[in-house]
Amino acid sequence: MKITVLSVKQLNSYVKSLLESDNHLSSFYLSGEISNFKDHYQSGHLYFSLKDSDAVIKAVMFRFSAAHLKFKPQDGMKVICRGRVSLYERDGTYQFYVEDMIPEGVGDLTLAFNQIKEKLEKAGYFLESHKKPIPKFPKRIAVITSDTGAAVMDILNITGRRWPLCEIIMCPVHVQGELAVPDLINAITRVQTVPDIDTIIIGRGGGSAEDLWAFNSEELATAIYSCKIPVISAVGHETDFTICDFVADLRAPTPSAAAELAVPDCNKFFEHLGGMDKRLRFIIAEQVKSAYLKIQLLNTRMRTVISEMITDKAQQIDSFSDKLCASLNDKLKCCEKVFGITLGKLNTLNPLSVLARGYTVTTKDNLSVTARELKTDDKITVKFLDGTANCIVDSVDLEK
Amino acid sequence: MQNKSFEENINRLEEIVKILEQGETSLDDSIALFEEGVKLSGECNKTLEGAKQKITMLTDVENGEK
Repeated sequence: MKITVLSVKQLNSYVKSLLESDNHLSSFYLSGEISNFKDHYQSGHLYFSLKDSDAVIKAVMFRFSAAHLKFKPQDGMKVICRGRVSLYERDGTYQFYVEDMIPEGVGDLTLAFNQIKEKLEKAGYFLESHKKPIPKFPKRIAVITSDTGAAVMDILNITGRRWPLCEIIMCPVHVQGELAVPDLINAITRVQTVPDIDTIIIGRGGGSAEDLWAFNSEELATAIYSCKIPVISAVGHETDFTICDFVADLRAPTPSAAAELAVPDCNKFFEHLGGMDKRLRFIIAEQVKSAYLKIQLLNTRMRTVISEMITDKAQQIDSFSDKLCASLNDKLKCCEKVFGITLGKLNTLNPLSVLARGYTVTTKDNLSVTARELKTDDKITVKFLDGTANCIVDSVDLEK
Repeated sequence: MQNKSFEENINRLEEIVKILEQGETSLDDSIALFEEGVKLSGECNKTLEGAKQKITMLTDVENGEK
């Protein structure tokens, strides 16, 4: 009997061809949990095992397939893979060649997003303390978005309506596809070389998770993180959150909202100015009114005081006047009395009243004489009350 | 550009209103502040009313500034 002895190479080759000839095994879907995961950084090939509770199979995903993965496979991750089985002849390893892989249970994009978010969050990219405030009165705003579509029109219309004072610098970019991330990063870099840009609005209109994917780029996040100008992120709809939204200085739920956050509303300002105008005028009017009232009050008080003083003085004058009259009257009465007395005295001294009592006044040569001065035959004049007698002295008798 | 002075004007105007509302200024000072406030308010109004939005392409700005 002839025994066929094979070489190892022959055996391996045979088994390999067996495996590869089976149609079922040339492309199928396999579900399992990743373990023993090794990422050969230099080659870019991924080596791991897929297992379930009862069995394990070695797996490999080559670089050109792995490059398309959005997420990073890890030990313990449950995945569904499309691929084929074969034998690696050199070491007889029976393995599963993976062409595509998606995480089981959660979408691959969601998983990738969570992985990037966790990584950047740990690195401090989302810290509030790093975020810059948005200028209130921007002179120039750079808008990085697609130049077609509703997003850019909304931003231009709203900023134009609210705050035409602000100049808009348009930076058209691809917002999806391969060119998106390089365009976005390039725009951010160039905008920082332009002087006087106060704020950047970066974003795009709504779309699927795939459409928005460029805004989850780590490199874009780095560019935004290190950007010196405040960035407002406005990607998709209100419920869409991208890495760009987390790392930006401010997130707007939509591009329109971004425009409203970036500039003030001049209509509100007209109201505000009008309001302040009114307040100013009111305050001044009140102050003037109050000052006027004060003056009036002081005026009234002054008049009262003066009029009191006047009546006071008038009363004093009257009082003095009365006193004056009284004392004058007294004086008058006094004088009258004295006059009366003096007049009486005068009357008694009136020589005529002496004559009336029967006495006479004798004179010689118009001079009054006494008996002693007379001699016989002197001519003397005797004055009586009712006339005079011219006499000659007969004899003189002297009293002893 | 005018905007820097716009912001300064608005801030000064709000400051003036605050000072006056505290009511501790003399009548002379109040009137002086009031006049300043009215002037600022007028300027702000004029700036806003006369403004027209300007849109420039990034490439044009770069070429123009270089």
